[in-house]
Amino acid sequence: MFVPSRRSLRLVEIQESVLPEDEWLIGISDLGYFKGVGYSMPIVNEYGDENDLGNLYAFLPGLFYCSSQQTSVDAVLIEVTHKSLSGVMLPSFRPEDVRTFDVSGGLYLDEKGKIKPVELTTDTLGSFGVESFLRDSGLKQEAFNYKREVQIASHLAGIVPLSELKKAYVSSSFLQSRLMKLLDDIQFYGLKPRKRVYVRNRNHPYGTVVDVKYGGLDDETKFETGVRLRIPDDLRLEKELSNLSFSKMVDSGVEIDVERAILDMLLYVRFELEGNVNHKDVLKKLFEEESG
Amino acid sequence: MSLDLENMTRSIVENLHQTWLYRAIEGWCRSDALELREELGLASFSITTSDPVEMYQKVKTHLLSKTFHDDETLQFLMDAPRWVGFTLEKDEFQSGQQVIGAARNEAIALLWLMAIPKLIIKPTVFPEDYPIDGIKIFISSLMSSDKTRDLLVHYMSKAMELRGIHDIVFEPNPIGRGYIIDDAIRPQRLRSLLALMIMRSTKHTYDLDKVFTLNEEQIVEEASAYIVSMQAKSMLKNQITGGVMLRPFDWPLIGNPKVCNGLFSTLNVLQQSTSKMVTCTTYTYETAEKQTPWSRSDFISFLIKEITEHYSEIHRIRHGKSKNTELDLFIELLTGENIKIAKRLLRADDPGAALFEELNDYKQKAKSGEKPQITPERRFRIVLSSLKQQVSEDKLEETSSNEVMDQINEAFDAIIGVVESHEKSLGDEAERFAQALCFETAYRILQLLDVGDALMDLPWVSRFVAEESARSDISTGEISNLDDEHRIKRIVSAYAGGLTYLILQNQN
Repeated sequence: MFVPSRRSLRLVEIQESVLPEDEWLIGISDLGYFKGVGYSMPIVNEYGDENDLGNLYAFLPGLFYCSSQQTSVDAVLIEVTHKSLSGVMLPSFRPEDVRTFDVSGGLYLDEKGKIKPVELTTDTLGSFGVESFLRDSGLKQEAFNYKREVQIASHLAGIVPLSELKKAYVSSSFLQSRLMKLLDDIQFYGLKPRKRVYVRNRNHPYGTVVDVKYGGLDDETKFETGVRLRIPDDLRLEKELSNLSFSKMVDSGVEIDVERAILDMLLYVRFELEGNVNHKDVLKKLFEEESG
Repeated sequence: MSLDLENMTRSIVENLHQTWLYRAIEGWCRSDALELREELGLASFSITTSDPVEMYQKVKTHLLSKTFHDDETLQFLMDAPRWVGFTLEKDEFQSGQQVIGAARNEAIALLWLMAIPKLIIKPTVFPEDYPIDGIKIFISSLMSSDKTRDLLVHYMSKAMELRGIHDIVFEPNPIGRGYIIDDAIRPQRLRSLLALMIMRSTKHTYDLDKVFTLNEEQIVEEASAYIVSMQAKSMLKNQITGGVMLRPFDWPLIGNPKVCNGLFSTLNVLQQSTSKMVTCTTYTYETAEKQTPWSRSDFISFLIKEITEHYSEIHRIRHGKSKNTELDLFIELLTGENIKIAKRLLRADDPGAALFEELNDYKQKAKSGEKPQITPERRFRIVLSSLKQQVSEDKLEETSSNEVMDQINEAFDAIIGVVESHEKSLGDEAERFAQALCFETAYRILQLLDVGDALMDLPWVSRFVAEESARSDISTGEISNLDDEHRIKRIVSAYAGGLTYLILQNQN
């Protein structure tokens, strides 16, 4: 995963499955905040009524659109568990499932099949595709073997170097449809807190979106004293999340809770977008040339 | 001792025509500095106009690259003196002619060292008759001191004179003019350098750090053992492949008890010589942080693998990729039952006769169309281990990316087998299991190819490939291909594609 050395607002995608029809989350966030994904410190339950140590949580604050729930959230929290099945470890979360698009533009293939750079706008999204290659290759559709995927891969390897492949990926039509959902959501609802977070853990193995309340938003004094995230519909989850603590790397490792990190990030997103929420401005910001 | 040395040098000189390395030595010995200068287009002999060290390396690379075409060996030969502590000092040279001469002499010495393991045993000698003491005496003279090396040079020139070879210089010490090192460590470092050359020539893998810790006696033993095991290993291959007149394992032939006994005699020599080695990693496997040497049954298993590979090669030449021929079934049976066969042979009183019986047995089974009893897990392990073997052998030679790709496809084929055979017990987890197994497998393959870091890009590259593939189904209206029943295969295909892209990219 790309870990930025300094703060910047980037497009981030989270997904476990390699199949396009499966769940995905796509959003805008600053991976410089935690220097990658935030991982909670393993802490002992403060009430001492449970002996076990809680599992780690992976945490990404930011404005994310979730495909399964068809809604947007203020953060993504995934409990990191491991299960061994017939000798194979099944992790609930891998850092490799998170990717940042640290690119300043897209790619398309010209008539000769050569790659050409292109600025990413709503008009140019979805312009990259290898189907013309597949059409010409005469590969049969029916038989399910690796031939087609391996052919696509070796064709891609021949025309797009790895350093450029992310540009091709952001310019592909599947990503276009995902990105448009996010852009529409931002344009329609603006940058106000969604007051929802995405959680995937033992109790919600397929992921869920829960409504939350931020004490710090309602009351400036409570923000200072640190009233933690409230989840009226799920007190067990509220307790679990309230125990989490993360090192905020952007501030030389200061410990921070879920609510504060979310509010921090919301502010940062607003600051970076300067209140602009239309497609064009958001795209421009996300794929701008990184200076320095 | 001197009689032994005389015999060894004579036998080496008789073998000279056996290796192409000698042709290179011959050629370079006969071209002088002036000719080399012209060949390289070095305009001037003057060292005031160019850096002598740079000129030295240029000449050395030029000579070696004419003979060694793979970059890895070439780089090794260029760097090895520096690794062991010798540095080239430009002030040691007074003229360009000296630079060219010294570089040429080093290159010729390196060629000799690479040739010695191949020349020291006559190809007609059976492994049980290898002149092991003679080899040790020769290697000991090579490593002991400048005095013993002079003696060696003396005997070699005498032997060459006797064969009518006059203008070829035997000088096995690559460290000549230009190289400097602290006198106190010179003998030990020179020994290490000579040993490394010999080890490299045998293409066995070794642990570099351990080489430096050996004393003189140990390093002589070690280098000799590398030579003997290399020779025994290539003898084993030759016995299986056969010569122009006699091909005992040329399908449908499966050898005979006598030939099989010969294989075991060679295998015994191989096992004995490798059991003495302490720096070699070729005949060991890694278990929880330590290297465990092969057991007897590992060696027998290796022999069966070599035989199986020989038949695969015949199959490839005769039938290409076609399946279900009798030979194909025979190969599948030998592959699938390798460990079982090795276990049975381990207990046999007459392993040669027993091996022949086994081969005969499986030939009958292949004839009647019998398939091996092999679990998908074992097939998966077999594919991975043969991939590993191929990668480690190929590293030293030309890697054929097509063959690696074939193996990768086979590994992913095997994953589908593993998941399908467990589908019931896996239930809802089958897909996650498939994804995790693909991820792990890809990681192991990337590590084998030394590009483990590429793993972080695997999931999204795989997804990208899967999307492009799905899009072509959608655009051609083949939506049924995206149904649930194909999901596992699509997952596996996606990873196969992602891995293919990353490997091809990292090869460049």
